[in-house]
Amino acid sequence: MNEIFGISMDAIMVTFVIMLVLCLSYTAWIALRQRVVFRLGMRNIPRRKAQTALIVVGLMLSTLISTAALGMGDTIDRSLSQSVYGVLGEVDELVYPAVSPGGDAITDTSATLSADALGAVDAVAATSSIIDGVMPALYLPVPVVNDASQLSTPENLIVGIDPTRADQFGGLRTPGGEVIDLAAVPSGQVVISEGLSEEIDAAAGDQLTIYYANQPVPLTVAAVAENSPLSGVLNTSNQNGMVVRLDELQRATGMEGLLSFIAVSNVGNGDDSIGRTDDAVAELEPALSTQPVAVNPIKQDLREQSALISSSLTGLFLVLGLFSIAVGVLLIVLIFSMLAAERRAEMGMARAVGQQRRHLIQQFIAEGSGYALLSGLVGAAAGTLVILGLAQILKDAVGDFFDVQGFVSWRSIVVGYCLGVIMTFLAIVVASFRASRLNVVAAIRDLPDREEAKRRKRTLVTASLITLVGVLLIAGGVSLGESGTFLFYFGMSLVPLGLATFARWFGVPSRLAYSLVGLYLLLLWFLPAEQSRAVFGEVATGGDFEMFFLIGIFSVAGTTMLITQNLDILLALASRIGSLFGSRLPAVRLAIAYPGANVGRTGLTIAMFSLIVFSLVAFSTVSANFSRIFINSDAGAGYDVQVVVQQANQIPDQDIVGALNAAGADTSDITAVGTIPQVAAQAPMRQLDSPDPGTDLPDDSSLAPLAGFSDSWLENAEVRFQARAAGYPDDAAIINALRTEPDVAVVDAGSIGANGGFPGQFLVRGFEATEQGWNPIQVAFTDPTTGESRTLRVIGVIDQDFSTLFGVYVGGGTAATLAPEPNQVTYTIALADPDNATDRAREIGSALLANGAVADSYDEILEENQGIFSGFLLLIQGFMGLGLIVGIAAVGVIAFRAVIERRQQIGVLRAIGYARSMVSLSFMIETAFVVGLGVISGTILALVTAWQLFQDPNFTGETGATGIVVPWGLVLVVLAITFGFAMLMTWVPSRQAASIRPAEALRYE
Amino acid sequence: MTTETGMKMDTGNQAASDGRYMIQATRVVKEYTTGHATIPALKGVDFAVERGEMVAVMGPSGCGKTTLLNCLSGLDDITSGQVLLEGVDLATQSDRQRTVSRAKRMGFIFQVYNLLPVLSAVENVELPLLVSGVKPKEARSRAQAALGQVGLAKWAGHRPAELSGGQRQRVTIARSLVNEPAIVWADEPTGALDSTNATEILNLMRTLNKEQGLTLVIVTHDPGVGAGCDRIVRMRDGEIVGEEKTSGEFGTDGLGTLHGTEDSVQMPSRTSQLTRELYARS
Repeated sequence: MNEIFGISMDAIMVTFVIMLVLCLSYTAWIALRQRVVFRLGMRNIPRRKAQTALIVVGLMLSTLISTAALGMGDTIDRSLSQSVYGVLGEVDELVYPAVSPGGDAITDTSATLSADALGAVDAVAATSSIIDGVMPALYLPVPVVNDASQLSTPENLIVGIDPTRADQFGGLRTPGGEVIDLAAVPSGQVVISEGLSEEIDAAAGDQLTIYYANQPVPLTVAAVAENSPLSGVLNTSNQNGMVVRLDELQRATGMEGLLSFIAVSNVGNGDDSIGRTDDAVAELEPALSTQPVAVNPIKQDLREQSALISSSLTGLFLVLGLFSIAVGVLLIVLIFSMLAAERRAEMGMARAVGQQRRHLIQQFIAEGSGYALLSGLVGAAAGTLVILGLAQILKDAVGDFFDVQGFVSWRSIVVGYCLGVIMTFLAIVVASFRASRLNVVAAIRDLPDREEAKRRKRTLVTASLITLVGVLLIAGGVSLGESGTFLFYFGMSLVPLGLATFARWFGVPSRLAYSLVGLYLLLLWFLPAEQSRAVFGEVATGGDFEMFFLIGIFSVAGTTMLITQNLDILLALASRIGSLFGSRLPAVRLAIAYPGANVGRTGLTIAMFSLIVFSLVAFSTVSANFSRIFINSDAGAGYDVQVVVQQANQIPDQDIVGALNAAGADTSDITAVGTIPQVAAQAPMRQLDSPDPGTDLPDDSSLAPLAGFSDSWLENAEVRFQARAAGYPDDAAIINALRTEPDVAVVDAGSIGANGGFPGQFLVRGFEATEQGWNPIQVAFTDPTTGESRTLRVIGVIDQDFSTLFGVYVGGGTAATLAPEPNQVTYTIALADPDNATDRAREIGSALLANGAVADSYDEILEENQGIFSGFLLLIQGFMGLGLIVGIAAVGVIAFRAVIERRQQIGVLRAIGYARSMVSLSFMIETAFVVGLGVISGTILALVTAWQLFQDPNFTGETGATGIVVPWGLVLVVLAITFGFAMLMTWVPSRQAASIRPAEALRYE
Repeated sequence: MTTETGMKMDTGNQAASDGRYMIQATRVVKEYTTGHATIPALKGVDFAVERGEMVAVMGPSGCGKTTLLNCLSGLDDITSGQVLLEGVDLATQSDRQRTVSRAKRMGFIFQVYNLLPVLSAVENVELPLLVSGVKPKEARSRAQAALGQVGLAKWAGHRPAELSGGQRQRVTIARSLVNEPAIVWADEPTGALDSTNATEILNLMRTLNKEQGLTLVIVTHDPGVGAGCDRIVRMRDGEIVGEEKTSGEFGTDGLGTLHGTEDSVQMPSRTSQLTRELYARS
């Protein structure tokens, strides 16, 4: 992975290394100039080994998470790039038939180019120092059956290549690496790919039957070759392929002199050869300018695409990881606050004998640097291991579709390490400043620091700074409009914090000030979307995935303030209902009283758990609801089975029922059939105008699948539209327009600009996802038949429930004019008994094997999509679950610290009659109480967030108002794991506390 | 078991029949092991306290006063010897039984107050009652009464940090008395107080002792405190080295008057005499 958030990874690495060096330079300066201070700091590290171990675990998590997020990017990048290299082998560029000279390529199998193009490419290669290979190829989709085993597959490509040029592309080889001489393979024999060999259990000598133009063609397997473009494997998801001599395939298909593409290889391999692509294209294009072809830098494009995807995913993982990192920072502050509390007396003593406050800070920084460097190493190693583990999980989940290769680059490890150590270092500096502020006498005598009534200037400065930053953010957000939502809400959340700090300075009680802030934050973030828009206007309408982080942080902060400022109410309640607890009342009372007395620590713990649970529950719930909306039973639009047939074996007259009858299949339960002819797999399109004049329209075309809804499909489909143009008041009007008006089109919900989309995808911009009555949108595209530029009018958006419909759709009549011989037709079949759809799909597939029909029930398609989606979610949840380790470590740190702090009090309790079990129980209840508050608040906030999201019709389309489904099973598992591990972590120190002998505890100081 | 004087020692059951004694300790040895070193804290101490007696244990720092208190109250285990509390051998009791005994029959006052900082005064005081299974309502009313007894009724809702040193110690006393214990153990109860507060506290303890017949064992290094008790037991280097009777009255300055002289330190202790009486009976 070379970039993240658009910034080069090399630049990021250099920046972080410099920052780390700066941090460490300060520590080095302390070591050189303040040796005693440095030694005092470092000496603390081995003092309590168990505590040090816990601190290292706590501190390493920031490094672990950042390394893991970057490592995930590396893994995706490596997996994608390997699949690109695997599929393309040594092919760097493809010379494709173009619809018009100089136009964009349309990758369908019907288009062919002539031998003239080959001559031109050969001529360039002959004089080029960049190009070292040229391979003409013709390929066709042909279903295949192994006559002996009767195993078959409709998804198979036969490729014809020039055997004399094979060595320019590494040669056609067996899986063992031996060269196969394709020129020596007799007519009627074929070399098959390893993938096909496994799929239909075929080996050398086996008899196969392929179907071309609906006619069976017998072939004998001459050899099995490794999967490569030379053996007919042209994509990652399907490794079935076979290869024969080019001239033989041309002759057998009647396509003498015609080619599907010309593959070009650059000098060098992998990224090395990609570096020469621009030069190679520059050499090829002028030479081919008179030919109806286009040069596609396919390897470079795919490599860039994979880098873009991995960079986006890394960004996603980093944003998700921000929750865990935020929790990790809270833990660091907590740990150092506790260390400071533990060493208060000695710090007071040090101040008494002449140490300056800065010496205390330096001492902590020295110690913290030691922890940070050590924990950074552990974290980077653990992050690498975590990513390899997660890659394995991903491989198990989606391995059938995508070969996942766990990989973390050294650069990511270095960046992850630096990032973790720098964050730890900064958190330590902040915590040290806080810890060093102590009253010397109170510290030495271990008395509580009394709050000084004095109004400090720094409070005013802090309040002013927070407010100013908040106001600036608000102003920035408002000025940016829709794209300033993040800044606006960030500022709106900061300002009340600044105002509350002012209020405290003026003597307003903490409870009143911060409870009001808490309530305000909850109101701000949970105001329904429509009301927010009404109050704040355009600036409240934008926002992307990063808002998820902001809402989490500030809603948790608000709730935590409300809880901690009013904990005494809970304590009073516990006293009121005391008799309910029976003999456990003393334990319960103390369990609530201790957190109530230490609001800072309790608040941090509640905030940590609340954040962790918020992120996990919100993500689970949002995912479940996405899944419900996008992967639902409406996907087939009323049809039950989908049958895809390629042009090479097209069903005559598109009469699938007739073809089934002819094959002897039962068609009595077929109640309706529709067809969706494909015009182009990837058509270049460009939006010409927009209903919103302010819309920024791209200058270049982007690609979208283009297909047609036949009249028969429209007649029987139960399709709905979530957005309609002016003049098309209802679904019937749009359906009628598709039937009767030329050049009208509809798009799927994923093609709406307001919904985002992925890189390179054609998007329609200028209206909201569920907006009605906008002016029809003009879209320009190139007619694949004539090569002329044409215009379509987009008049509607298909409801997102119909998730199997993807791209731009025109009416059947328009499709017929655009592509009289569609290269692919999708038949949709409705059955009398939809429950039987999967079995019927298999039967239909078998009956139409000669047509290479790929038949699936929509249930199967959804199940498969669901499987991929679930696997990906599992991965993300696993990643987000890393935050849980932080929380659990925090509980451990707090509980162990509490045992030490309360040792003498435990002695008193034991003296006045507390049984061991009650001491232990008190600790457990305390954890349950604090963690419980965090877990409950996090869960409620997450569910409210998800509910609010899915109530917003702008986000979810017309189905938004139907409420949300809470995946209670998953939520309960998350809560049980969180709670269970927290309790487990407390169990050890609670036992330790219970086993303290009273006399020993009373002696402890 | 045979004593130093050759007499057969009572196991405790017979001694229990003599209701005079709250505590009877015989040849109590307590050793601490630190690494390879064994440090003797109590070297065969004989000690007894009658019911309703107010006894001071005095001696220099590190002589074993607090260790003795901890061992006699069951807070700590002894290495050898025997401790009978109200006639019951502590060695025969489980940790749970000893804990129950402490909750129901004993009160503790420590030098550094040892109140739970997170609870209010009344919550601190009612804690032993709740532990003993008293209903919350009754516990609260008894705790309020106990605070009233020590003059802190109005401070019931305050946390320890909001009280003065004397007030905190009075809360501790209220806590130690609230469960109507048979014996109160006090470890340097006035150690952290000024003389006025110390006098108040000691007078309060004396009053309770006289009016309610409360048995008190007070560990102190303050001669004035010792002088206000019925008897002073002196310790040095883990051994009881003498005892003396006192006036049993605290003066206005908080100091009592010693009846004995320096020589009296060398006199055979009352404890030894009581122990001998017990041995004789057996």
